[in-house]
Amino acid sequence: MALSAAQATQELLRRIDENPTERGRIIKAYYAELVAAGETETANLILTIRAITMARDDEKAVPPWFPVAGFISLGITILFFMALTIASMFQKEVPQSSRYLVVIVMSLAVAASFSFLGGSAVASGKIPIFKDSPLGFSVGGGIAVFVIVFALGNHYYL
Amino acid sequence: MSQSSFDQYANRPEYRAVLKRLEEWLGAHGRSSLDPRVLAREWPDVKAEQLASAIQSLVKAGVLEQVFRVLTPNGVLADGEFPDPSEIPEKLPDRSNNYFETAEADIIPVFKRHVA
Repeated sequence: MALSAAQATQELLRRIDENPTERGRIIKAYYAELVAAGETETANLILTIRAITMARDDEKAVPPWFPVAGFISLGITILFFMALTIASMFQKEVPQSSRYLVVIVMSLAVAASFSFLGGSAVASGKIPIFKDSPLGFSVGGGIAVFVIVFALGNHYYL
Repeated sequence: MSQSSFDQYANRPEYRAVLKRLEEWLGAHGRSSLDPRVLAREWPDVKAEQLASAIQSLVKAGVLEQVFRVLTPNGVLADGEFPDPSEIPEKLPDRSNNYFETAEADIIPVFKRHVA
């Protein structure tokens, strides 16, 4: 019985999901199976569909190190400000001439934390906006956060 | 490249618009090969099935030639084009000339302009 392209694609994906490390061997075997059954057009079509969906899935996904990088950025930011707070308790405040650098560091750190954590939250569906472009959200949001924090720091801290 | 419209290769009316875009894209880019993953990213509005079917209709019509290539573990296409997946060797070199097992790698169809 002839399979539709959708059914054949699902079958290929099911087989790959069962053994993802053997995907090349599975693709070869399934292609040969369809060709032997006289379904060469379907075989070609499903490999093309798979290449297209793979590219779109890759673009949607954020790299797995994004949340890790986000937490590291957040941790460094917190430690940095804890150090500033402790220093100020011992009358070691940041000199007025160096406060500009603190604002830059703060803006970069907050933007990086937002960017990495926000991007991974969107990709995993935790934030129901921009779900089709988590990387766009990550980059655009990071830049926006940088500008806002920089402007606020410039206004209130300098 | 033939000046005839890709429209004539549309075996279903819904592929006409995609074929027209494909014709314009191929004309504008002047590339000798077409990677469906590039179009997938550039045209998020086109359904995967429609885009794949439109490309395959051009293969069927002899406008494009289909070959198969293998993705290296680093995610780039390895050298070597194969007319059938069964002809892909067990090992291929990546860009650093380290050989990897093709049984573990993705196989991607790539389309070359058929020069008559």
